[in-house]
Amino acid sequence: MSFTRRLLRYYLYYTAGFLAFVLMIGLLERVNGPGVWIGYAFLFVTIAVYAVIGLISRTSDATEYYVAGRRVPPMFNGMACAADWMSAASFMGLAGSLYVSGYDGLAYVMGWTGGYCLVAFLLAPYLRKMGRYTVPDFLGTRYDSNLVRALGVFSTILCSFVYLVAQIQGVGLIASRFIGVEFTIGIFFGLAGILVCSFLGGMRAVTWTQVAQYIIMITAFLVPTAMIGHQTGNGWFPQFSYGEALAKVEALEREIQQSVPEREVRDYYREQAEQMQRRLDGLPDSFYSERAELERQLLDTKRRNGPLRDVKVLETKLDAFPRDVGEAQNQWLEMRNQYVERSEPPHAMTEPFPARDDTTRSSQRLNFLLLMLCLMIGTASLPHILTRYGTTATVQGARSSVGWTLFFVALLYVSAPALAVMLKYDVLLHLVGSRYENLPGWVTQWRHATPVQLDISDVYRDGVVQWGEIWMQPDMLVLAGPEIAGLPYVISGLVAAGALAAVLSTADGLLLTIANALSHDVYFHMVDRNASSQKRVTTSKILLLCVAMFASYVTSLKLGNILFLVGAAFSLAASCLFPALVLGVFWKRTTRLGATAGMVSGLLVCVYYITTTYPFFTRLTGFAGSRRWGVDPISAGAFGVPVGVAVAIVFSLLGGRPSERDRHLVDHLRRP
Amino acid sequence: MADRSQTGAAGVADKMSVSADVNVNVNVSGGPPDFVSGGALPDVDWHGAAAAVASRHWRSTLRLVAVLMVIGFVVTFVPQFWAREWASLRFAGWPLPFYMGAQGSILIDIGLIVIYAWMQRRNDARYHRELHALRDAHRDSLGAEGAGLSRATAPATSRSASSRAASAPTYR
Repeated sequence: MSFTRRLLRYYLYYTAGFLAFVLMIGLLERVNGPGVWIGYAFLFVTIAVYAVIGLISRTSDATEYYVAGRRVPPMFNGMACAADWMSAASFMGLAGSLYVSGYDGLAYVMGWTGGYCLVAFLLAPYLRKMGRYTVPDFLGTRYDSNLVRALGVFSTILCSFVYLVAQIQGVGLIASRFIGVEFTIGIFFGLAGILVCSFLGGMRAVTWTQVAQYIIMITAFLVPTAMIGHQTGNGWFPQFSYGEALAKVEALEREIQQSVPEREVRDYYREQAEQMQRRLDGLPDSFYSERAELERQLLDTKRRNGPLRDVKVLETKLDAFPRDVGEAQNQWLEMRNQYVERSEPPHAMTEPFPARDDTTRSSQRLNFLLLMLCLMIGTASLPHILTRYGTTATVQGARSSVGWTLFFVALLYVSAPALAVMLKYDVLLHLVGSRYENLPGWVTQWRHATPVQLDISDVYRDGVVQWGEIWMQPDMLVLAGPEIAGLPYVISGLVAAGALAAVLSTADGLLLTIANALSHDVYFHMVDRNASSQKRVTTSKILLLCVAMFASYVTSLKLGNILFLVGAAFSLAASCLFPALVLGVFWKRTTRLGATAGMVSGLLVCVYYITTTYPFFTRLTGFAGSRRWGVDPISAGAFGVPVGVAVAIVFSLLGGRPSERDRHLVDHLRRP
Repeated sequence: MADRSQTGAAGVADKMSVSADVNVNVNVSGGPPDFVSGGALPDVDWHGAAAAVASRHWRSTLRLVAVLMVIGFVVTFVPQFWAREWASLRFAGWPLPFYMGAQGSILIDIGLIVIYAWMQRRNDARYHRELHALRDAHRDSLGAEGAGLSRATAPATSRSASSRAASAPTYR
């Protein structure tokens, strides 16, 4: 029996086993009623499964450790790559942002899938043909230079690390919601989950756990989508029929735009935003006077021997009050922006670029298109994706495995808009208009989650929920989806397991990419050329452990703005790696000097644009540049990539001709 | 799954892992780089006809990639650029730009990659066929003895054998 057939059989057994497990829990729930134990069962059982696969796949052989022995069949590599690719942002964020911001969310749908065309056409076959272990290794070999290699390592670590921190944050959130532990403990729970997959077996273990994780992830997305579709009357495959639901949502949205209470609610938030603006304008005096006021009230209540509850309330208020002026500014600015957002009249989900005047609209359109472009090029430059295509047996296998990847990714991406539309329909129909005395159970549950996920308060004071009174963190939508639609709790557990699988699989891939870049490119190629393969693998494992610890530590600091940086990681990867990678194969004339200059300038332009236009950094440095053509900082790659390409070409032409070796190498890469 | 390491090229991989990372050793005198000479086609003259075959293969690769990328770019970006103007066009119940963004362009992208993988497979097959024909002609011109040898050692044309052969040099 061939390797592929045997794998297919194993994973079919595995899928059947998993479905049986879900059914069993479902039956148990029917008998015993829902409870926290469902969350425990799903999260711990799935992690145990990953740990077993990780343990079975342990290895200390270099080719096995770095590229899974280069014999992963294309279909399975596609699955592993899809799991590697789809992180918390795809699993939870995609449907969430379509729900919250409507048409704008489509930039992510197209950007994150269109990039695979670039991977297939421009990169994957040649990376496989080169037969190296990492992306910096490819660059270092192509340009025969440790400087290019070092630049590759630097940008690999830069973009993978922020991405990794965001994933660990996702684990913390899932763990704190579904097993009810503290966020920080949840992080270390996640760390254990990540390490069991990758520590012993490197790429080999990660590959086979990622396939297992993909199966759980896609089940956890498609089953609720089908059930919600069935429940809302869109059939079992709402992916093909949600157009109708979309029309209904649009009709309800038009009502909301007109109705009086909704308008009043929006006015209330506009006022709040103005008030917050006044507080911001009054800084730093407003900060000191408000803190003094709170302290005085607390002292007063204590002196009066006031009720203990009032003292407690005031104490928590004072605790939550910003520590210093800078923090106050950040916090208040965030609150003001949230109020402004909530005071905007809602627009239809299908309405593209919904600004009032033409100039803003065309700027929105430009940013939409540029974001798409940056996400595409970024997808095609992210090292943790590209290294996966080194694990197939042949160049042809690498090509078809990109096709498989996009197919498996599309299963989720095509369903996400359907899910978003149906959930919005459900919320508009059932939650909006219900009375505050009998809110559904999930609302009370999610209201108490920290960090704040759901805010719903009776601003209009008529005891009825208005659309404008609900505020949701986009990420909670998919997790809460089964509860919103009133499905049994077992489905929520399934979704949690799927989200965990999405997060863990991506975190594993990223962790391995960082550790391998450090151990293979830095340690082996720059420090000790004579290290035995045994020693290199051991070093890689130690580094893996260190990077994982460090990333968890950084996550536990709760740096709020990390989510923006994930988006920026695409622009960074695109600006630094894409020109050197693609020109290296498609333009034989590219020289070491050109590649070095291109990488440095692309990275610098991108970093410069982000740090001078993104508010978080401009506040930090006190230096703000102008936004050229109104381009958002997240699309900084729109400047970085062209500059990188142009500089690489110019410096290649200025310097000497590429060496004989380089030309032969490129010829070799291009031959099948 | 435990026996995965015993399957396939495990023995080969062991031997190769030792040399896996030594930088590719290129013959600077203009001959073939030695990672090629160790592969499936040992005695091909890379300066003349074989180079022409290779560059024909590369040119058709470029043509294919260019055409597919233009198609991909147009179906993704054009409906989004005119999203507001085309919003009244309907496709099976959806506004056309929304449908293209949510599903259409993804499905087309899958199609493009499938076409690419399939066409490239054919392109590769033609490359190998032409190269083998070239070598056989070369051997035949050397006499009957050489021709007999060539038939005995010619790489099998079955897919698995040729793919194994193609992957062999890159392990090194």
